[in-house]
Amino acid sequence: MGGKSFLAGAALAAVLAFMPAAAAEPTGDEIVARVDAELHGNTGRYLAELTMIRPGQEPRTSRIQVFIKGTEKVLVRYLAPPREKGMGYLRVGEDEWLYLPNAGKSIRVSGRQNLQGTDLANDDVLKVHLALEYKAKVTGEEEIEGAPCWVLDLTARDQSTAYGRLKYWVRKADFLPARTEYYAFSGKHLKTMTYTEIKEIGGRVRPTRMVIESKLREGYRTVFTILEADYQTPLGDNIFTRLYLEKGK
Amino acid sequence: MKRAVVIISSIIGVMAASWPVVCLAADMAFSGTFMVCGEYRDFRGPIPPGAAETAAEEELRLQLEIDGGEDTRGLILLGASSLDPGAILLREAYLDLRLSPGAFLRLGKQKIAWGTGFAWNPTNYLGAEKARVDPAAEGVDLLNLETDLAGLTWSLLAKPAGLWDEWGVAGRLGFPLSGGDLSLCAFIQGDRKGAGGDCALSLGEWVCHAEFAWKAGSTRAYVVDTAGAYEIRLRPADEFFFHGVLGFYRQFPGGSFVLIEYYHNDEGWTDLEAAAYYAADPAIKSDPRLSVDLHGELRRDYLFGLVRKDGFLHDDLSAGLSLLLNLEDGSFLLAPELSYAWKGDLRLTIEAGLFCGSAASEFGSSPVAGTLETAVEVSF
Repeated sequence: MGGKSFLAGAALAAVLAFMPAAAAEPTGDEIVARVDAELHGNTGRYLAELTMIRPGQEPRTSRIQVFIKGTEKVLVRYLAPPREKGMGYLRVGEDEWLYLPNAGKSIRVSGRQNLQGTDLANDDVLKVHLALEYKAKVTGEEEIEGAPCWVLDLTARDQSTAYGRLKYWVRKADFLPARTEYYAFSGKHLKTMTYTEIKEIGGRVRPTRMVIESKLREGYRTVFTILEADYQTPLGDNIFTRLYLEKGK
Repeated sequence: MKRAVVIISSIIGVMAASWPVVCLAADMAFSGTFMVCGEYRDFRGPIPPGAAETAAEEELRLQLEIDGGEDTRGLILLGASSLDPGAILLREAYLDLRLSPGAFLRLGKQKIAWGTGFAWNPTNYLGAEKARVDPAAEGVDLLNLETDLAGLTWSLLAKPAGLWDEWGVAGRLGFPLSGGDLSLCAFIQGDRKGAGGDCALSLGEWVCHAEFAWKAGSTRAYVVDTAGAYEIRLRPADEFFFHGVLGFYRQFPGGSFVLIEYYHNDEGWTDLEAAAYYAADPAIKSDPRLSVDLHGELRRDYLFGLVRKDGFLHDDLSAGLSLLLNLEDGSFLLAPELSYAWKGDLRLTIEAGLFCGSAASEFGSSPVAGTLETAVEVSF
């Protein structure tokens, strides 16, 4: 955890050092740290819908509430559908738990596990600061939907991450992500996420609709839509405890 | 059973018609689960006269939850079984209060969830050590206070005296550690007392867990017959014994789950000990119901395994297989399970139980050779 905090500090310092010299081309690590800051900042909460789309089936939607504090603490709570209500995830540093209401207790889990049948891994929601998990290198430039983007190659800093490598497209104009391709440590292309509907929400301008398309199963997609957000109100540490995960609302 | 169906249906009708309106008016959220389940048993021979088990048993369960904003919540779980027609069983009923941002009080009949074990929880002192996940299991009347203080999680349980037992108190202290969880706990109830703990440790993608307790106090059994109720003390009050669970589990990407758990119980008897005890006490020996129960409850060493796969053959199907193995006599209970979830609100489950082993073994000697359980669960 200490190493990750040091990396966070270093990444932030890199961003600050980069900002006055706007004319200079930023490095990959600087770009990713800036994207993390633009998307999540230091604290926030948001309400989101996860819609799973499967070939030949009715789409299924879950509603979640997500709380984020700093780079180390995330809590996710399921609000709907009724059968999933009350379930939740908590991450504090490298520790992650899943709360199962029927069992009345939380158990340790791995970030690589799929998030409740979606095309997301737990860590796609629980570990949102990519600069801490991956080393980044700018490999080129491309346009996505008419927006000039840097193309970055992100490689895992260690084996604890959910993916071995990411290919990351970041818009040059506003440092917002446009597309991510996820690769396993074996090199297999697992899925692609595209980011759309950029708008102001909760005091921050960011993409509010993410579409995750599986590359392993034809036609499998998950749509992640942020409905409400608040990136201004500070959150107490008491939210990011197992007790709150199990008993809080 | 018919009367119970009418009563439960009426409750559902009243709830469905009026509670949402009441909840809306009072700014409360209303939710719940309705379950219809049945268990069908295949006996090895004719059903023994006076046996508690029957060839078929159905039950209706209704769980209602009311959320009253950030700080309060109420839950009630009712059941009606074909074994006791007309009776409504109150399985759980409690009120949650948030006293401060980091302090929670749960008051009422509730299930306890202490410990890291899955199939057994030796530190679940004041509740059931087994079958915690079983929705049919009854709660215990408790005051349950939990709080985060000085970086530790403190839990306190207080149980009032009941018909068969004295008042009890249990405390637990949880330590937050990086890469692992650790809790220490203790309890006292009448002449029973004990201390123990539990832990879980992440080892790469695997999680290793352990739960243990040393307990002292008389293990008691109660016999109720026409002469009244009387108590039998099976162990001296000052003798300590050890209960322990050691296991590991892993979740795999794609929705698979694997669990292995070993359980040891020093309190348990070997076949020879049990036989000697029965032989020495004609009163117990002459009561076949008690003998059978003791024989089954007080075994010493078990292995439990569970494999589960979500998205089995179809995205909405889950399949599971569990094995409960008696390590002393080699008998086992094998339980395959299949469940289907529809739109997040409806779940259908079918589970079989196969009791296997020699005629003298625990599972082999069971009068039931197999069971089939079905359940339909609707969440709203």
